[in-house]
Amino acid sequence: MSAADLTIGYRTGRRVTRVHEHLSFRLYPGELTCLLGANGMGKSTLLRTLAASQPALSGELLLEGRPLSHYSEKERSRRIGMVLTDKTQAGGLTVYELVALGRQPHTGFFGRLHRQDHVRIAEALEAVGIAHKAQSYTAELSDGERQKVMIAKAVVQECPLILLDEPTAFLDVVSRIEIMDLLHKLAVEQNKAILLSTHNVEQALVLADKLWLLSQERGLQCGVTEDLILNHRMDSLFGRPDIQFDYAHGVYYPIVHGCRQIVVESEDDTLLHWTVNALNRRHYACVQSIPDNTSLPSLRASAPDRLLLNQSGKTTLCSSFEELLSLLVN
Amino acid sequence: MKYRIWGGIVLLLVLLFAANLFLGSARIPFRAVLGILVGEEGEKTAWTYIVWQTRFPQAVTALFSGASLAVAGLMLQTVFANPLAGPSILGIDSGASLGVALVMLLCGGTVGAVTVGLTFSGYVAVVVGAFAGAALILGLIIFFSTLIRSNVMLLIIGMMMGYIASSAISLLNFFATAEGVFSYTMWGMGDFSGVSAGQLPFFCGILSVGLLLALLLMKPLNALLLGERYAGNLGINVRRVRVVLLISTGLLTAVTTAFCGPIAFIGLAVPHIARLLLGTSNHNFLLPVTMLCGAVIALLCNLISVLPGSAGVIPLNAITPVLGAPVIIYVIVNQRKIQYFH
Amino acid sequence: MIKLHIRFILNLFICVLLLASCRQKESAVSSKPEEKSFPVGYATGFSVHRAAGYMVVEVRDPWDTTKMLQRYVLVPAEKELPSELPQGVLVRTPLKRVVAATSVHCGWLDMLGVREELVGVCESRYIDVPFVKQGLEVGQMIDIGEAAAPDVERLIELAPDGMITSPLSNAPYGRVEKTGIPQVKCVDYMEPTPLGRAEWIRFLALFFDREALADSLFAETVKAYEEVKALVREVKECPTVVMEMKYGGMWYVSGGQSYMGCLLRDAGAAYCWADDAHAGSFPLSFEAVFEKGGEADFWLIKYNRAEELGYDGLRKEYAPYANFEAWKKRHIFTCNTGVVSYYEEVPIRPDYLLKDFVKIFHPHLLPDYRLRYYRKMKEE
Repeated sequence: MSAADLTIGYRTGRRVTRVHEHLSFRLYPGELTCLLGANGMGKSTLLRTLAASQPALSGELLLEGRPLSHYSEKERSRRIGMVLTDKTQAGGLTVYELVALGRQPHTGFFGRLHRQDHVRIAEALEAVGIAHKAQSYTAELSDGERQKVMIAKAVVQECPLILLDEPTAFLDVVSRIEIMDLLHKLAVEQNKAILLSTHNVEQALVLADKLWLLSQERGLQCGVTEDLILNHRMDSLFGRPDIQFDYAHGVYYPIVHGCRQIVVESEDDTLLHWTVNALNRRHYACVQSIPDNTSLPSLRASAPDRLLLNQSGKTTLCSSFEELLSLLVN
Repeated sequence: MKYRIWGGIVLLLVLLFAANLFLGSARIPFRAVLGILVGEEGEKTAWTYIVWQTRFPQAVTALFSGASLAVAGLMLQTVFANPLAGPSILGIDSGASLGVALVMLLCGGTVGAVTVGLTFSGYVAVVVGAFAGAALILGLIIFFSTLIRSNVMLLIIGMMMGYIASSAISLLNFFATAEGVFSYTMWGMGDFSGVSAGQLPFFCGILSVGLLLALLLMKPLNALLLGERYAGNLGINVRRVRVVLLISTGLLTAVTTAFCGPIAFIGLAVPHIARLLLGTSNHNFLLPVTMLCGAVIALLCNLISVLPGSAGVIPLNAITPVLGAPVIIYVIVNQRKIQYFH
Repeated sequence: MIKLHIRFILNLFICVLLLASCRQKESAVSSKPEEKSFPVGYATGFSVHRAAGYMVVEVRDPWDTTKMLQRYVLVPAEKELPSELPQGVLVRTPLKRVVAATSVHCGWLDMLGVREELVGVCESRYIDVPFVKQGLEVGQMIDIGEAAAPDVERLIELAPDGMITSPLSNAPYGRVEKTGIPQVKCVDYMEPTPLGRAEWIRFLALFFDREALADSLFAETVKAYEEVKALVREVKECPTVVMEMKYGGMWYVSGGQSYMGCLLRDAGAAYCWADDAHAGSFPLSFEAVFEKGGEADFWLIKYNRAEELGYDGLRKEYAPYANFEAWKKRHIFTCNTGVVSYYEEVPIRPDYLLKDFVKIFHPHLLPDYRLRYYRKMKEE
């Protein structure tokens, strides 16, 4: 899928709200692309426009070279699959039946399933790892399992493009990782183009082949994950002065306005990171050693159980962070 | 397992249909009815007449009406994603009644005597009037459903429209004679005896069209279980499905209301009975089973209404709530345990 | 003159004899020796006790015959109030300003010559009585609304000293009761016999000091009725009769012990439900009616519609109607109550209806009589 100079938004009556303008991007098969951005930035609007649920306001949107609007519903249903967070009435369907609904674009008038369909459904259930629950009602599944079912449904539709709107919302960590992993596997193994929006930044940075960053000031920035990170694009994503991106660790963290300062030394990078983390939490800004300023307290971390604190002239050796933090002057 | 259920329902249907032929207010011996059915001349010509000209049309009417209302209710419940939707709750049969009342007023005659002085084109006029009324209300409900997210609110709007239609009918009754009012009240009690043998082909024909349209909607209805966006993604033209659904539901409700009066609860409760029985929301099974269950329930209600025999007749709308309301209450109370509510 | 008197007494005597054989006597005699009894021969719904200076009229509750619906204590206006009065609604007679809730009672007032006293009516559009129509036009009387829910304000404004009502079992005239205006409750329509119902004119007359007139009117009615009834005594063949039509899923059939059942019996017909015990009407399915009445000789239908009903119209309404013998042999008689004064006249002159019935069932007995309410049903 590709777009040039696309404007997305929506019309309510006479009013036209332009959410984003002059967007250009490309989606390639075999890649997992993650769409990141703050809430309300228009991620859902973008996804809906790509899925043809919502018309674009202007510009060009092409799917496999043809404009999206030229596709009939049937053709679209075989090209684009969706996984949303919508509530459904499908609790009374079994997992098998729900996934079978994904075959509708390929079945005849009454939706009768043939052998080929059953084969595909079985494959999809295996691929997402929910085959053991095939005969259970979807109402009985956990959230993670239900997401897998919806993904299986999208897989069974045999579409080259799959769009997912926050598939890992409401899931616990294990499920989140499982889903992201699964999606990446699908993208690579089945040569699909998969685009998903998510707030799960850590996983996205690990597993996404491409990132789309959607923000108010910069609009849409697309690129390979590492390119974007190392070009410092992550900072401006949220446009908030008090949130910073930790380039070393790939996470966002709040900027500390330290009211105090402390000198921290350590040879071990990991230990240094976590020591600074603890001190920042106590609103201590950490600086590297400055020889001429000896009024500041200092901390030398050799090991997690050997923390040498020098404060107001007193030196204490702490054997745990708990001890250390209890000694710090607030 | 599913086939056992099918078999059971079909058997029940056949039994109840037969029961409606053998049992009635007039006591006709079993043998006599049997003889009449195979074509012998009964001992009393009155009996032959009763069996073929009143009991048989009444049973067929009940069968088709029950199936139609149940299917209409099922479609409404799926499209509006609301387990408490139904033709009477959403005010659709009040709309049909209003249509009938207007046609009757314009053609003279009293409301309730659907065929007073009517020729074939007269029946058509009444049905068209009923359909227009039903379609109008249904269209308004669909319009409101785009504005309102909440299911409960939509139900309430449906009820409000039903009240408006009913009050319009009351106004029309104001200009009617005492007999007209009485006639309308009796019509409002619902009865399956209004279709005589000659009108049966017309009645069943139109309802069959509606039922056929419903069967054609099985696949889209399944897709709609996932919601409109998913359904659209699966290749369903939601707008077109809505129109076909409107025509089908409107037709089914309008014709049954025009000939039998407004019958409550069948459209609301039977889909739930079918779902509980089958244990699935899959319309490929649910729709045909709902049809059969609707027919069964209607035949049962018809039988109960003639139970007092020579002591009298119980009006239909006094019986259907007794069967239907407990089902709804059961479903609401056991919401948590029932799968299809999630 | 004397002949009239003798006839009158003779008729009263006949009444007394007859009532010994069919109806319960309802003339209670009090223990006080001065009281005169007021024999109520046919009606079972009211009873009258006379005492010195006043009269007690009791109306029985027709829906629970062990209870009393209302007791009236009638004291003439020009006399003083006696010191001890029994409990009940006190009414100073004759009433000077009344409101009538139904058109039937307007008709009775007309017969009793009570015209100027009528100041208000309900549902005037249904009332066909000439003096009422005139009165409404000149503004001498006003319409106070629906009988079931009259406009209480207008009622109070009128300041009547009595209102004639026809109470229904579960619709007490609550708001009207609260106004304190005495309600003359006529439950005549609950009487199971024709003469019983007609006798209620004597009840009404008590409130207007028109006893004598009412008595003579009633006596006339009784006489006329008995005369017609006597005609059929010799008749050997009683034709079978079925009545009315179905509405929706129900066909309301009058019971064997009901008003209509009694009337049909007196007219020499064998009503198909003559041996049924109901004192009112009850619903049956078409089938049940067809089974019993499908072969009836005659079919009488009352309706109230703008266009006249014909054989063809009846069949179009419900095809199975055409299978009744009466339909096939063209023995159906209809009465369009919107066109003839059925409901206004029949309660007080059941003999008119009896004559119609006798003419229909045994035409040779009344060769010169023309049907008053019913007529042969026309073809289409």
